Amino acid sequence: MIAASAGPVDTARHMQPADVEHTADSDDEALMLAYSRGSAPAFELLYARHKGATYRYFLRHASGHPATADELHQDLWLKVVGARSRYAANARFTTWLYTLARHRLIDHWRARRSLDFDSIDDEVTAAAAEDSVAATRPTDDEPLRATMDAQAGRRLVSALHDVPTLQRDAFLLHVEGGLSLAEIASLTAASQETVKSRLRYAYRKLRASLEDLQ
Amino acid sequence: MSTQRPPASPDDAIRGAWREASEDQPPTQIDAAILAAARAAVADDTGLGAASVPRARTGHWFTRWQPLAAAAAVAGLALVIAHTLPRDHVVTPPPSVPSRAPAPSAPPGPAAEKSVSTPSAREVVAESPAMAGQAALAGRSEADQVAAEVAADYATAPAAKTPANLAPPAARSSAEADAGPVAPGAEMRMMEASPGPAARIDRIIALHGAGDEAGAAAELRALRAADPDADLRLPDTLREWAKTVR
Repeated sequence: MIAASAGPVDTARHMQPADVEHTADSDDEALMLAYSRGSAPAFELLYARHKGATYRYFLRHASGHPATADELHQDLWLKVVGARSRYAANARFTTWLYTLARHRLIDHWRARRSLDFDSIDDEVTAAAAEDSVAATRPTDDEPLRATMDAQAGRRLVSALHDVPTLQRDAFLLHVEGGLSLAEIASLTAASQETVKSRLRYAYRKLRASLEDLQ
Repeated sequence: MSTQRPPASPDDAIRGAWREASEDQPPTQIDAAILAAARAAVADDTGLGAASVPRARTGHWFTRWQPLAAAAAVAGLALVIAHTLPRDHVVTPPPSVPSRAPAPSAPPGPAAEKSVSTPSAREVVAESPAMAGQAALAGRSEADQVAAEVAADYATAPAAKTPANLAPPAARSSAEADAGPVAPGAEMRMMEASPGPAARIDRIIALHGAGDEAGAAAELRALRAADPDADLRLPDTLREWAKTVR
């Protein structure tokens, strides 16, 4: 089943600079507020925590084009730097961060005249799939007992490219960003049920790519 | 998969496998750029940036004025070259006193030194008659003498009115043999250097006044060669003296 939150998204907490131990245990919101008050080490810690996840969010959406991911990743964090004085801890930092990331991604696609996020067919497909999910879910609740090795990871990455954009976005926000269903729903301006459906189908397609490993 | 206990659900297994495969990280140069931008932004906020503003402005001022300074230097250099090149072009011909100048292959000595100094003295006289007069008044007899001799050579040349022939015969022949036709710029330069009748009269007055009658006579002969009525142009005080000059 889909967890409400994927929990911590990166192991970068072990990459803390030595001179910021006083903020090492702080949560993201406190670090961002500290940075907005002038603490550069707080930003370094915050960046170390989330840089991998945001980079992979762009990389998976960019179909493995590192140059595009580099550009989008850098733009995102420079935007974070530029918006530091306007940051208010009304919501989780990751929700704010991935809102910025998603907007940047949409801008990128619009600049390329790509309709990935605007694809109505994609949304209709997801809704129709949600209606029939119960009938087409033979083994959803069975544990996946296959050995997950590096080959499985590569297959997942490859299979995600074939997942519809909205489903892929929900999956990445959930797994890489660690956002909950409610946060993804708020971020994408969709209902929680719609987000749940997108996630369900994304997981199904990814599981299908690993069936022969079970 | 590195977890020790089996995944609780297929989705957990997918997430676990995904994280196992998610090792991609941004390039280090992008990390460095982002962190540098973050530090710079904080420095600006906390006033450190303001403290560094004078240095930044200093650098900016220098950077902004550097092209102008370079352009001024280039313009000055071009001006110097423009003034230097024609002068070198005129000075380069060999000495012009055939009777006294040694052959180019002659060993260096007093005569050679004199031949080397001759063109510059001629240049001084030719370019500025007033300066020649001042030099005569100052007692620079050697240079004046050479200048007078050169002027005498000018006077003996039958076609002295032609600018291209203003150079003494020996110098002209060697220069033409070496460099071919005179360049238009050099020709114009020689035209500017040729003294007019009024300048010659001034020089005659100056030389005569300084007691250098030989020099004054040479100038008078040159003037007569260019103007048959030269004696009539002289002041009354010199006309009696001019009658003695042949």
